[in-house]
Amino acid sequence: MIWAFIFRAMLGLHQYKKNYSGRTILQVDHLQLSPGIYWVKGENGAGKTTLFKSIAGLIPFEGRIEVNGISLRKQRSAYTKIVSFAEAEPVYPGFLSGSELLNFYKQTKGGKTPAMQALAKSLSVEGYLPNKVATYSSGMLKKLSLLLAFTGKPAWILLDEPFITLDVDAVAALHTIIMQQHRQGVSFLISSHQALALHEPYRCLHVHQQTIHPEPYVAGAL
Amino acid sequence: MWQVLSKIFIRSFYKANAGFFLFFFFLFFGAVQGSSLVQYHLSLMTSFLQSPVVLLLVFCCWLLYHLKCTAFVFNVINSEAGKFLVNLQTRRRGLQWRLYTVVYLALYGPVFVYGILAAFVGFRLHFVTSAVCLLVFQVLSAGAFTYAIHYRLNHWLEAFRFPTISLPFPKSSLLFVFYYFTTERKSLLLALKAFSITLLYLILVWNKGRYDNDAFLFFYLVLLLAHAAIPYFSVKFWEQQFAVHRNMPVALAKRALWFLVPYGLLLLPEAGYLFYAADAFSVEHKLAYCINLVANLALLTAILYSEAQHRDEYLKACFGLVFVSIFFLHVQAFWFWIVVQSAMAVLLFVNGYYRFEKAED
Repeated sequence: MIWAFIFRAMLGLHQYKKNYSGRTILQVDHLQLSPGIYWVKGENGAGKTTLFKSIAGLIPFEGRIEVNGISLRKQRSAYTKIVSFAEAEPVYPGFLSGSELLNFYKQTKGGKTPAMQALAKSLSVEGYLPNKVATYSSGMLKKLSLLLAFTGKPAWILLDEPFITLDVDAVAALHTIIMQQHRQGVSFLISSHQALALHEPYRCLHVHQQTIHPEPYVAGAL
Repeated sequence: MWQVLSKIFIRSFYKANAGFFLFFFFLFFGAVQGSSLVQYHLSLMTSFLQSPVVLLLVFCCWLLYHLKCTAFVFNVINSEAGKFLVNLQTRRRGLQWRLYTVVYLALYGPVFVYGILAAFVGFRLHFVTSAVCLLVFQVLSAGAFTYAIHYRLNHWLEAFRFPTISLPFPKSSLLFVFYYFTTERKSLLLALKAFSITLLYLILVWNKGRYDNDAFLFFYLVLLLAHAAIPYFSVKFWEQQFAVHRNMPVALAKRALWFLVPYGLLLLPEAGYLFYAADAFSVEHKLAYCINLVANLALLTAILYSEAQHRDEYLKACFGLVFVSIFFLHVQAFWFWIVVQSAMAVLLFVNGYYRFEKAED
């Protein structure tokens, strides 16, 4: 049942506007994204992270953001259950271990332990999960944040600069995981300054001049 | 060299602790009329010069301030921005000592000057033993903490860390703030608890024979004001160290419990001491004073989520709240004031929580 719902999960932004100190950073009148993988492009400071944080519910904004009619503003718990986010520069409380964070995510977002163990193995994080986050390097922290974003049964996963600070093997593993998850019905918004090396087609969104321009062509499918 | 050290340690210390110093400045210089200020401080100094127990308590408070200064310096050294300080070990030992002594005295200065003045008063009033103890304490403690900084800056591979408390049960999200204070804000928590227990001791035990309800109220409100640091750092913890928690499917009521449960736990020492030592109060009054503390912290949290996240705005709100509390607590309208504060807290939290956005520091 839930998979049927996820397969047709449309992400919509309506009359969306984000201001900082009276200055408009990003404005979208109407944008409806059908399920798929989207590469979000844009120069530094264009508003990619602001867009991701708005969709993830981290910052307030004007307008409406919905996934299949489930409104971020009105049905916050149901919405955040199906929309996950991994930050570009993740920060977690240093006194918690990776396992404790994972448990916290599993308790709130749901998800099965074997599936998470398999993901942890793919990203090579299982070895240091029992250690406190304060002891992690930036690469380890990044892998943990990616693992946490895949927890539960999200319909959309927002990955902000997911490839920075990752080693070569982890970059390859992440591409594989993205494709596997996509085949299971999960959609992605991925911001990156490099093109995605996916064996599946993906679309591009260009964040430019305070708005989002969907590009007409389909990229990818190496 | 001096300019860099002054910027990285001294200026940033006073900037980061502006609220702390404002609070103590108000306590020591703003709470009495200008004409009786000298008399006030002379009687304060005499009280600890003539009683070894009070002198010991004062030493404990100064020691906590030492820990605060040293922890700040160590945090700067341990941070990424402080890594360049490794180059200081190439300088001559004598020069290093002089530099660190001046830096440390600039941080510890307010207490150091007050201690020396108190020693001078002690000699004039013939409390020679206490005055000598004061001088020895100031010189030895300042020397020891300067040595600790010198040692740290010359032993980069052996970074000292305060021991952490590990509790033998899984870390529930309801206790994250509690763990935050017991691991990453230990010195603040320790100073706060020592300060508030000292206040309660002074008014309930030391002053037992001359107990006065207005004096208790004053000490209670100072204790309440000091605890305003807890909501400030709790909100900072969730919004800066764990900002992604907003992407979690958790009901607003449970998010409120993420604050309330730790507040209750963190206030247990004061509650316990109040029940133990406040013989003059009925059980109902003791309970009301304790619950009022939690209601007050809840309201301050809600205020932080409603456009008062900057330190100076928050300080104004804290002083305003204490000012209003005086009226209700003076007429012993405890439960009414608790209900009013709780209702305001709910209203502000519900309205402000999802509209909140962390301001740039």
